[in-house]
Order: sequence, then C-alpha cells, then structure tokens
Amino acid sequence: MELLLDVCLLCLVCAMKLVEITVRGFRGIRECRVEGLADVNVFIGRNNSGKSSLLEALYLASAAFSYDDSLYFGDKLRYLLNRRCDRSLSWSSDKSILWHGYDLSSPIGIELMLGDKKLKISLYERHEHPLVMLGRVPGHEEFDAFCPICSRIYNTERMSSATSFGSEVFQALDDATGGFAHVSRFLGSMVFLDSILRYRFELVERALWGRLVQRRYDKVVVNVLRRGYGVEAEGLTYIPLGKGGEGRFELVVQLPDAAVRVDDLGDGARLAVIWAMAAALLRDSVLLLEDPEVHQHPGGLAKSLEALLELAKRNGIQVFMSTHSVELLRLLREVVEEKGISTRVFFLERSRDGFVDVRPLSLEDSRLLEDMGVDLRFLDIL
Amino acid sequence: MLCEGKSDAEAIKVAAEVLGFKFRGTLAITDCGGVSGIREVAGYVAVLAHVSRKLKVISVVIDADECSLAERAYSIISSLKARGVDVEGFSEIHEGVFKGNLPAASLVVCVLGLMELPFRRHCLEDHFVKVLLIDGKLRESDLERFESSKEAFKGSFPQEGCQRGQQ
Repeated sequence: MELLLDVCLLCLVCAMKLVEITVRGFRGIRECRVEGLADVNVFIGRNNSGKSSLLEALYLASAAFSYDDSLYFGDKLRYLLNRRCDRSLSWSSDKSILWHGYDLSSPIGIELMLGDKKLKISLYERHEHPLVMLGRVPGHEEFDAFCPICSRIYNTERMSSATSFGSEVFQALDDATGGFAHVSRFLGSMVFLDSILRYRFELVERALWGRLVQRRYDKVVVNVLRRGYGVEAEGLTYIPLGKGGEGRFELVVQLPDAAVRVDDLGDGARLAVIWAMAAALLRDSVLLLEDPEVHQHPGGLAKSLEALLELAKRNGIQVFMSTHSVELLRLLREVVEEKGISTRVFFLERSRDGFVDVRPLSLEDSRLLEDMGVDLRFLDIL
Repeated sequence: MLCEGKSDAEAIKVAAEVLGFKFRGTLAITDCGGVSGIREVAGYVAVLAHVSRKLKVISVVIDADECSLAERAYSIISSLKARGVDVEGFSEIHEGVFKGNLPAASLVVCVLGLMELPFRRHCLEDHFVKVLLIDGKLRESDLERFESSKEAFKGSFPQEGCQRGQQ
C-alpha cells in the first residue's frame, strides 16, 4: 500500500507541467500570454520581442519559492537585476529596472496555469520576495498573499503581514495549486542556463559536481564531450590547482595521453558540459535555456541538444528556450520527433506599447512553413 | 499565393509582369515543391490561416488534374474542414476561380485547366495550348498526337526555355 502511494505521488509530481503563462508589467512586457505549452517550448522572434523577458519572468516566479539560485550561489532577484549587464545593481536602489516602463505603481504579475490550477505570483516594490496570491481564506480575510520565503501572510494594500496563521492558509494554497509542496518544489528548483554561464564554470562545478559524481552522471558529461565535440574524453577528475594545490581543485577532462582543464575547452563544449550537468541532476522541474545556439557548431549543438532532451524527458523536466536559429529548430524537430517529446514553437512580436502577440506553432506547422520557404524568424511579415 | 510547382510560380510571375498588374500590397508567390495532393495544399493553407496576422488573401493555384474545376476546388475546402478550418461563403466567382472567407483572410482557389481540351488530365499548360491554338501555332488536329497539354506545349517549343514559351 505504501509502495502504491509512493508511486501515485510520483506520478502526480511527474505530471506537473505549466500549460499557460501570463506576464504583466515586467521588463519590456506590458502584457503577454502564452497558451498551450508543451514539454519543450521554443520562443522565437526579433530582438526585443520579449523572449528573454519571458524566461526571466519564469525565473522570477521561481524566486517566490526558492530565493537562492542553486547554480549562482546568490539570490535570484539580484541575478535578474545584473544578468544583462553587471553593474552591481541592488533591490533597494535599482529594482525599478524590472518593472515595465520603470513604473513601480503596480506590481509585476505572473500567472501560471499548472494543469487546471491557476497560480498568481506578484512582485511588489515594497517587498523583495515575490508573493503567491491567495484566494479568500476563511478567518484571514484581510490577507491576500503569502510569502513562502518568509512564511508570512500579507495584506498587499497596506503591506502589513502576520506570521500567525493556521493550516487554512496552506489548505487554500493546496486548493489553488493542486498541491502546494509539489508546486513549490517544481518551480523553486527551476534552473536558468544562459550563455553568461560559460564564464562562470567554477560556480557550476562547485554547485553540482559532488552530487553529479555521487550518482555517476559524470558519464553523461563524458558522453556529450565524446559524441558532440570530438573530445576523446575517458573521464573527468579533480586535480590540485597551481603549485602545492593550496586546497583548491579544478575539474579536468582525462584524455588518452593527457588531461585538459574544463576551463580550457572551447566555449561551446564548456556550455554543453554545464547543460548536461544541470539537466542530469534536475528532477520534475523547469529548465530555462537562453539562446543555446550561441558558440555552438551544429554538430555539437545536435548532440548536446539530444543529450539534454533525453535527460529532460527522463527526469520530468519542462524546457523553455529562446533562439534566433532556424538550424536549432530543425535539429530540435529531429530530436523531439525521434524521442516523442511534445514541442511547440512560439513566435513573439511586441508592439510599441509592450503588448506581446504570441503565435503558437506545432512542429508540423513549422515544417509546412519551412516547406513554403517561410523563415520562421520573420513570421511577422505574414 | 501557393502554386504547385516552380514552373507554375514562374508562369504567374511572368504573366503578372506581362499583363502589367500592379499590386497594392505585397504579393508573395511560393511554390509548393511539386505537391500534387490536395491534403498537402490544405495543410499549407491551414497553417497560413492559423499564423497569419497580415495576409489579406491566401490564394491557391492548382491543376484540375483529372477532376472538374469545381470538384478540385471543393476538395480543398473539405480537406481544410477536416483540419478544423471552416471556409465561409465559398463559391465560384469566375470560371475556375472560387472565393470564400477564412477567419482572418480571403481564400481564392484558382483551378487550372480547360475541360474543352481533349486530355484526361488538365493543368496550367492547357491555357498555353489554348493560346497557341488561337495564334494558329497549333491546330486542333495536332492535339491528338499528345497525351497531355504539357506534351503539346513542350512539343511546340522544343528548343526554347519555359519562360520564353510562357511569354
């Protein structure tokens, strides 16, 4: 019986998937709704159409449940503030850059449909953590939001809060989300892989390598290097850094006759190592991948994408990626069709006033358009 | 504008140029890479109807093949319906030209072929053969030598390119 229950719970967790996202008042987006999400979701469109902002909005939503990033050893809000250009911006003085038009008068709103449940998350300028909006909670009518980070309920009108509340609040959250603990884990453990990471391999290495080796997923990384990048990798190991080591170690790839630091691999190979490490360890969550084609030769991209999506399927990971590459779309189509992974492409077009029009495309749609000679990146001309 | 093949697309471009058509909007001509099945054509129309925000008219230029003009046109509509795309008010507005309304654009289907010619299959080249007949470059009795208007047309311009022939 216990085993059955475990299996059922596991199924519930595995079935979790975002089916719709609505973003309001964030970055360049005044409003954007993306419906009909699949296991793999690709955002395409011209520059400044809102692709990266959508990824960031999801990442912001995840900050409601887990404030610190598992890769960057820092808080997610600070990362969002400095990700595009590191100027050491802080929440207290620079938060307005996250708001559409730098207008702090309304909260940033993110609505996520998880199956048939709608989860509303808002970021108020007076509270650094995104809040989960509550429905009406009996006995706590004056409060309309919950902060999972602070474990407090909030009145967002007055921004007053209380720590004293009963299980009714969690019941309301459970009702609204269909299982708050699962949702919290699903969204909170979200990983954001952007191309900036190629310069921060030491962070990823520190965060993931121990767990990776314990489960022997280092073999996955070796495979990616061998298959996609022509590296005759036999294994990965740690060696002391510098003379005497000084207690510091770094990761190297073991070749037949030598060893090479992972830091010294080409940018594309190093990024692929990061993707494989992150996807191998992530379970039942969301992976955000920004412009994965950056620094990638098509051969390497094909193999690393294949490995990534295989892991995503096996580990119940929903993938969101932005791209400017039709080559990537073609490679993706081949991989997902072979592996039976549901995939949708969303063409984004942002109007001057920040409303983002979204055109969903199935893989078949994208193939037909390509057959007609239509370049999907220029869909706005149609 | 969706055509069945490269030569059809070329013929339309040349015809438009020769006839001096001026388009108020942008005319995009795409060949469907030798597609012969209605289902594929319907697939193209359906995806355009679904993703387009700016197209005013989606048109299909297709050979009648072994069907009548109306049969061919309505088979596209049936195939679209099977894909969940309804075309309202679809009717013939000129011989071989049919028009209806998609949710956000008009659909024009132009079926090529002249039923008066004694061939089993009808296609774009029927119209070229008709011109050759009018110009006296072919006689009706000559047609018996050919299986199709494609053959008759090629037989009349053995050494010249397609574009020259179309002109």
